[in-house]
Amino acid sequence: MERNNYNSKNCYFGSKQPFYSRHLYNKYSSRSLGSGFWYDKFTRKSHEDWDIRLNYRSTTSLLEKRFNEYATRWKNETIGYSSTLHITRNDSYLDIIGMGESVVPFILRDLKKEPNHWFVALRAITKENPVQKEHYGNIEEMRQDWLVWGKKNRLI
Amino acid sequence: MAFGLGYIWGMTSDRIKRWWPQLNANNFHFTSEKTRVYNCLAWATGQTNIWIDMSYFQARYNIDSADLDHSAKGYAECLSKYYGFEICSDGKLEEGMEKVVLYEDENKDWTHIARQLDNGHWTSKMGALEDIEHYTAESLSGGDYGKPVIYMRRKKNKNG
Repeated sequence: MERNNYNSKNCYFGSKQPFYSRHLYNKYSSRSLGSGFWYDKFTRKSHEDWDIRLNYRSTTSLLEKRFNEYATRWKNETIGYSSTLHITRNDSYLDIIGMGESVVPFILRDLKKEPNHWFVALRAITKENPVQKEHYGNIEEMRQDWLVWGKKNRLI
Repeated sequence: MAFGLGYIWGMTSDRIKRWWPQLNANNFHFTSEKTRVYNCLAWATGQTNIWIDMSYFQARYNIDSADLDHSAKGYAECLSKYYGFEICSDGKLEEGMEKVVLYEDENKDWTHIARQLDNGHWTSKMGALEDIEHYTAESLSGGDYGKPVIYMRRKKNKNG
């Protein structure tokens, strides 16, 4: 006897949702990508994320990219040193100084994010020294002196 | 010392291999989280709010650039002049005395200073990384810190 499937779950006419609704659900739901919501979040597959990344690429200049590379390398290579001599004689640090005035906003932005030994580079590039004498040695106060200088000169 | 939840270690095994190849699980332990506020010289002299090196001495005590000596000997002179230390022969524990040891690399540049604890072990702030307690002064040698070259001492409870 031939089996009657008209009222089973797999039957087209038996489905509670219309065909086009199921089709759109499959197409745009994150479930259709394989692992649900988190799949989208962590692998950045959604359209919005890709738009953000493309915009970031176009607005990040080559100069800033190079600065970020040098800065990351410098931080990694000198993090164990205590002497400013060792910290500032690093090749990547010297490369950043060699990039000249155009990197001052990037340095100030990095300094704003976290305290670090940018003072020698800033002084070498700008030929200025806003650090007050009594602040020497106190990284946080030296940092604030440079950030105030940066704001005054509209660099941050 | 309890480290915060989600704390990211600065002294990773890769860094330890490169900087301090003689350090291992049996000869040191961590005593604080990493910070860039103070360095080893500040820690050795009992301060935790300042980064002390030759540029600090230069600015604070008006030393001429031409007179700056970045060797361990130059730092020993500053420690003697400003913090009351005197050079001694070794790092043996002495009653009533506080001892420090200065490290120098192969270029004869000062790299580090460690302070002796009451139990004979040494305490070090590793640049901008964590504080550690290491059981011998020599356990930091062999890498980028060079080796211990000058031992100094002063009477306890005398601030610089």
